[in-house]
Amino acid sequence: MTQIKSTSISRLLGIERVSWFNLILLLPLTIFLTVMVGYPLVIAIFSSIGLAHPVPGLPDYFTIESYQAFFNPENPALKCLWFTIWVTTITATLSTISGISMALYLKLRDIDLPVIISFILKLPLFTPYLVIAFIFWVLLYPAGYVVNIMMFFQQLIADYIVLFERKPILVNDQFGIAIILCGTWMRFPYAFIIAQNQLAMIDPSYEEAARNLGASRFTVLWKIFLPLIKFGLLSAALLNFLALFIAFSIPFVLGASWPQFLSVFIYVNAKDRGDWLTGYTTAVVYLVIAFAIGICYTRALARSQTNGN
Amino acid sequence: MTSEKKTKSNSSAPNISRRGFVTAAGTAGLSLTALGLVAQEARAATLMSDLTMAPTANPENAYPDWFPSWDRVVEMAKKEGQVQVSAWGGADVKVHYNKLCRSFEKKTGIKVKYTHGDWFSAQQMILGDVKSGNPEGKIDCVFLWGKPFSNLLQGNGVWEVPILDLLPNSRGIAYRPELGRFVHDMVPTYGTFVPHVNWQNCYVYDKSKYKRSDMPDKITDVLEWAKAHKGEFTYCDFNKGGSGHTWGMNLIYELTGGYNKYAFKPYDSKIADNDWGGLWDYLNELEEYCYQPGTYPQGNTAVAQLFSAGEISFCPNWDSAMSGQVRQGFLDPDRLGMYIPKPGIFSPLDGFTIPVNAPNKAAALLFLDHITSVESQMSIPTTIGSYPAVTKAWDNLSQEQRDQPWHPAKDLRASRDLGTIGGRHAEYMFRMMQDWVVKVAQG
Amino acid sequence: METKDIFQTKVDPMKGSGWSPITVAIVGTVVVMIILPICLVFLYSVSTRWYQTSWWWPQEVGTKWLLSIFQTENLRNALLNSYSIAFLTTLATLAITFPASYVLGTKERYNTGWPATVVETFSNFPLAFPTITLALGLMPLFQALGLMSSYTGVVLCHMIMSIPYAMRAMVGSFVMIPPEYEEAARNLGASRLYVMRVIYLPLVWPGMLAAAIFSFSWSLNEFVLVMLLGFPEIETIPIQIYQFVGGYYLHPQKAAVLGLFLLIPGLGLMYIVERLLKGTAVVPAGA
Repeated sequence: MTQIKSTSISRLLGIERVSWFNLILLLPLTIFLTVMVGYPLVIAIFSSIGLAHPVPGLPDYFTIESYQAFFNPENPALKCLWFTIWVTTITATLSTISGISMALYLKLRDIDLPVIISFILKLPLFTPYLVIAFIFWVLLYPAGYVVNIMMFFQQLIADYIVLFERKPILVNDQFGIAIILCGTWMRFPYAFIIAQNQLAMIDPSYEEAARNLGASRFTVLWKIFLPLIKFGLLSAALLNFLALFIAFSIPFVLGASWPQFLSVFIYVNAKDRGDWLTGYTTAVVYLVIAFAIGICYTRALARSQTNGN
Repeated sequence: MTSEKKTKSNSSAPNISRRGFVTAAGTAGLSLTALGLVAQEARAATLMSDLTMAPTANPENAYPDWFPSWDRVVEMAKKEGQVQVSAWGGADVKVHYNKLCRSFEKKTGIKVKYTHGDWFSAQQMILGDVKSGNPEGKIDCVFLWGKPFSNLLQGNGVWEVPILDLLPNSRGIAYRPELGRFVHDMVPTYGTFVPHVNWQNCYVYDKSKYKRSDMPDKITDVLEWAKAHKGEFTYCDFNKGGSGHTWGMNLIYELTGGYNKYAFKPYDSKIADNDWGGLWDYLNELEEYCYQPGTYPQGNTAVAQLFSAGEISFCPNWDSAMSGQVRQGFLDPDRLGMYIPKPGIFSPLDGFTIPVNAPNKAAALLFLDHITSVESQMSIPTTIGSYPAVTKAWDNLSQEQRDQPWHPAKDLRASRDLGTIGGRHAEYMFRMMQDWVVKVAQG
Repeated sequence: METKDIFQTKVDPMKGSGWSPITVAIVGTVVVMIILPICLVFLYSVSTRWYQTSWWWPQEVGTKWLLSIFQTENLRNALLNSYSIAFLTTLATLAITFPASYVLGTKERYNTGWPATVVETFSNFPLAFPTITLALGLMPLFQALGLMSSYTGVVLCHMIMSIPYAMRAMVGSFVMIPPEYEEAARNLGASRLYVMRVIYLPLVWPGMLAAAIFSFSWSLNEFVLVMLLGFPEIETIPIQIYQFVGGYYLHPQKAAVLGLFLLIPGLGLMYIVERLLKGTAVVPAGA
């Protein structure tokens, strides 16, 4: 294996004894990311502190006042951020758990889904999310199917218990119920596919051995499958979290006037009002959060790998 | 001889000498001629009673080489051979522009490349081109509303030539400043803006449940009505649809000091800080009686859909939004009642401008003239369900076309051109939209 | 011996301990919950009159919207653009991420140093980059490179966002491969390229497939980047959908019809993929 010679330069850069081959393999991706992601990233950061001017309305001088304004407790952007985080967490949890549970259930029961059902479960991947956001609005708004069915049931059991005094508010509400439901629907296949894929790669001899030793299905699940696909679980949860964190169309259509998703907040401030400074500042905050999540994920991943598969 | 004259002139009785007579006659003659001229001038100075302009009488030779007459513009446009038009809007707007582009192609033989997109991306593209110094843009005329037009103007993206007055058909637009001739949402246009469609925000009520006499006459009587009919009124989130913030702007006029306090005056943040308490109190009180208090529909169409579904019976909304609901088969037209409360809900005219780096400016001018013609403007009420900028187009419609429920003003000239109209004030409006989130939605 | 033969096992659907009533109930509920919104899309695409007096079914159905879409929209061009861009994006993404996933997935075995960690973290960035900010940041770059409103430009920016998805799926697969295979091959004198091509490629193809599916569907659906960087030359189906159910305007029936043009071909492709995958459950043999 050809390694980089241990010279003073390579020691300085910390890449002594790193395989040349590996670095070359990483090169295309690195170049691509540097240009296509690094450049807009730098633009976003510099715009938020007044050093770049891709759009009108940004300050001409270096300043961190937009960050000071953002982190001011009075600032509504912080409330939006908090709202975004907890709605996204709930949605990511629900979608990941449902996807993984489905995959685990099918695996444990040795069920092989017929092709048609298998691909129905992947339908949300190909549905345009703009259309789905609207369809969920139609399903959940006060004159929609779901509410009508709920009120119908309410009427049936009215003599016994009263669950809803009036029509429940499921869209444009302050808890983001519709966002959670729509987001779960949309992200379910991601978790399902990743989990299925991971489970398919598990050596069947592990399960055979465990079963031969008398382990119950639950033990197999808990002691064999879950530890082996921990990596996949994390990856799916992370994917779903980040995807919904920056989602726009779903919270735009299904969200409330207040609190708003951060992406909608940026849209309203930047696009409609031309307040690009807030837009870029918020984007950088988004990136920092994702970066932090990425680091936690990488650490957890490393830990899960050293624990041994 | 002189002594005789002298003796005669010395007498007390007035004695007009021949010279004097000639002088007097001459003066009289001159005065009469002058009067006649003045009378002619006075005749020429009579404005058209509908505030439009008479056609120009300037002959071809009035135009020196360096200044193109309209015929020259037509000639140059044909040489250019194509025009790139960018617009946005709902499905009906797309159909309308497709129609206009096809009729233009047929009439002039100039090819139209129409893109139905997004005002934001069009704005960004033009501003980006300006910044990078690209002399040949991809858009020759762009449909805009107040904010992007203002952005473009401030970003040096607009071709600063008073194009409106170059178009022969623009004479059909009444000379009211608010009709996009001088200002658009109180942003001065300097003649660079060609108004096209006059959206009208109205009060919409369910005719199957209420009579017109049951509904509030004045714009501010909504609160009283809502108190008497709890849960039947709502309005759109101010930041998600014009039906909300246009209505809100007019509430500002009524509740915080009158239209003249704001009209044609520069933005003063102190007014917004100090004088708007009455507005917020009103809206907060209204919130308790609204449909699903605390939640606001997230768009014009969301409000329209709630109305079509029978969830609400009263709301402010655009004429085009409601006509869209009927055309899409969601709303029974017999339920649709619309009217404009007093003193009005001043609504904008959106229109076109030519970017500074448009490669086919003559063709763009020809296209803009075509869409400002009476025949083209007649498509606005019939396809989009809104009002035309050119009033004659409204006159030419059939009675049946004018009688649609989404046209509350039946005599456009009387109510708009010669009546009480005003405009929104863009900067106060944006301030209101921002403050609404804090003062009303968050409360 | 072909590696594939060892690992192929034919699996019969519906066989085995699987389909108890509880299973049917669970799978059935999930299927219904997924299908219901899709059925609504179909319903909207054909409803021509739906007054509030009937809350669950339109009063009148017809092909009015379908016909109007065919007549007025530039459908053929948009369909071609949408699918070809998605296909190219997927291919390019797989090509660029395969070597990198190999490096990151086999980190434990070869010294990769900090460059690999940086690349791994950096490759996650697009997931958290709001597309509108990305588009605005890319605009000056694209204008300078002459990539505005170009096919290449759109494929490049779609790759940005599909790379994280692809990386997640593929790195995961690489990690699952026991290191012994590579060690054995290397001991027998195989070069690393050979190992990548002959050992890893057949084994990680479920991961690659997952990556391809995610990339493809993401690219098919994306519209903010195309709108700001590709429009007006490049028009895709989501852009046309956005004209009908984005911003302040809504024409759900036309949007639903256009949505079907994304849904049905996409599902057709998925179906083909599923059929290809059926009966070839790839399972590594024992260590």
